[in-house]
Amino acid sequence: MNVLFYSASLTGIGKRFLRIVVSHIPRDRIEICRSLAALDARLRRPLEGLAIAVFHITLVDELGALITRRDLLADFRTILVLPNCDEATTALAHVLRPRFVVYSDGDLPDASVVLGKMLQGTKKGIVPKGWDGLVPEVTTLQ
Amino acid sequence: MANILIIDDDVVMSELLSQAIKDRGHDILCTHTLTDGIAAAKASSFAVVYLDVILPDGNGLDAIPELRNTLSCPEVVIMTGAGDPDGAELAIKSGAWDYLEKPSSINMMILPLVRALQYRDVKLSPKPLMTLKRQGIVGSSASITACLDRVSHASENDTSVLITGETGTGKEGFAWAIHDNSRRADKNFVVVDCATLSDTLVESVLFGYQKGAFTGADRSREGLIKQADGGTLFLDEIGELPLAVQKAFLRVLQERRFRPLGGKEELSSDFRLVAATNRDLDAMVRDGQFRSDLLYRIRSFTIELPPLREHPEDIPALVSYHVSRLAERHGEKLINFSPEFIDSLKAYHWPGNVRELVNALERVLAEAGANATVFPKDLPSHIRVQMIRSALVGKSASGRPPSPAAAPSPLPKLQDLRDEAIVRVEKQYLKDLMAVAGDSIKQACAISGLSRSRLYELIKKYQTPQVQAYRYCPALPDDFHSGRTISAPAG
Repeated sequence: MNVLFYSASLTGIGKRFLRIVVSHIPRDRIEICRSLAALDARLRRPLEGLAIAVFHITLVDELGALITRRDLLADFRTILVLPNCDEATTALAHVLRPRFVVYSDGDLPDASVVLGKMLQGTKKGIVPKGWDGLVPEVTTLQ
Repeated sequence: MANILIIDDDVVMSELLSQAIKDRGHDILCTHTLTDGIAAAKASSFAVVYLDVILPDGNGLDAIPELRNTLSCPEVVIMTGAGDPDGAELAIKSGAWDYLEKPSSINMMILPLVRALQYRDVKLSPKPLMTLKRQGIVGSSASITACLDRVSHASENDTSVLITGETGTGKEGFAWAIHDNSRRADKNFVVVDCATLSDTLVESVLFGYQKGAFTGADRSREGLIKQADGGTLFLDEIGELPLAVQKAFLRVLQERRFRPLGGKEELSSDFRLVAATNRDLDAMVRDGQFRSDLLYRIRSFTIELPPLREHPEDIPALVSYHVSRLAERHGEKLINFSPEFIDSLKAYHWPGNVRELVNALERVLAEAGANATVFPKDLPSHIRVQMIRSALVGKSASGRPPSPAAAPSPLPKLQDLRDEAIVRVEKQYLKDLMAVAGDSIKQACAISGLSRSRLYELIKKYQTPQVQAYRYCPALPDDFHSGRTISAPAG
């Protein structure tokens, strides 16, 4: 089971979240997208192996852009990292039906626990088998 | 006036019940075997079916789904002389209206009919047309249509809903459909994934917390219950909710008020609860893992999603829908599906349900070339292996010795086996007895050691070819008559 990690900024908080993901799963099973264009390119290929997505959102506009792609994201179990906890931002976030929401100003340990349990759940077969065997190369899409 | 069907090999009971039903102005048809009963149910329209359990050619409980799936979707009232709690549970889970033990008074037998007809009057009366947004729920089988009816019903009010079903049946999709068709659609649909929240985390996530409530709480945070204010709170995998949190959440459900961790003031939230689980919450209550009062609260309205293997007729529509959807991901391709491919999909048992089907389709699409025709060979190997194994097990069952790897067939319940054996032995004994004693009931009693009434009872019970000539005549309740003369019938 692989993880899709989206962040337009792999410094600061983005980097810290990526470290959390890497602490749970080998780097070669993480596919990183660093722009919406890269995300689009990835979503238009077969998902095989990708079932969990972590989206580090730095701007509310990015969240809106993700919402326009929500049909393509429907097959993911999603963790959202939001830039703020404003009511409007939170309401937009729930349109994506995330399994967990954290905020850039904290909660990193919580996100780590949740990601760990998600990966554990997929190992237990909560997500059906049939994906294994096609592990992609280390991928970073710009 | 309604059409009623009785499937019972007990001729006396059938006659009595028929008469009582006719007296109430309904039309009645009696059959005495399961085969005839099912054929009749498929050929005509019935509102209610009275169904015996132990029938000469099978167990009535096994036939409930088939009867319910006929066009008129009749209510099924089970009546049995050998009632047992497991059988009753199976009957109700299979969709039976009621489960009666014989002998019952005629009034007790008629009451479920009256209630079932009242229910159907309400249920089948024309309703105002409502366009249901399906939100990706595909299928037109009776079971999916029934679930969509429940979604429609649930979206009209604010009752808590519990959605049950195996993994991959689409519980979240149904929850979303309830929300999106309800008056709360423009507010938040908040997902709480109970399976991924640790015991310590779940409380702070649900209720929120104040700054300083615990180590690391360096700012206040709104909980998901508050975020669902005005909208829908979807508790996925509710069976995973820790017991301590169940208690706190029960209070929130009752009062729609809660206190964030470390908070001094209570907050209110007007949320609608939809919960989902693939676990047996009743068993969890028995094991002390789930609170019965919470289960009572969340089970106000339930939707039981069928596994895909129980509605394979929806597979072509599912394939069509998801292939169109996936085409966006893979680019437009003209794909042809061979008839064998669809047949194979229908034959597979899909333990991962719709989600597994979608995954399999995605793999097939990804590997298919443009203008390709896909065959069963294009399916993932684990599916093909399972299908071939199932086919081989089927062949073994039809005469060949089973391979060591084949799964043994499930043992019947001891009570069922015993009942069947008794029926078989009694039937055969009666045949032999009639052959030896000829027309003489007196001699038959002497040989068998049975009392006259017991012998008559057995003759009534088993309409075997040899004894069918002795037909019960209601006008002469203590006698049987046939083309022959029965010696010494009276006394």
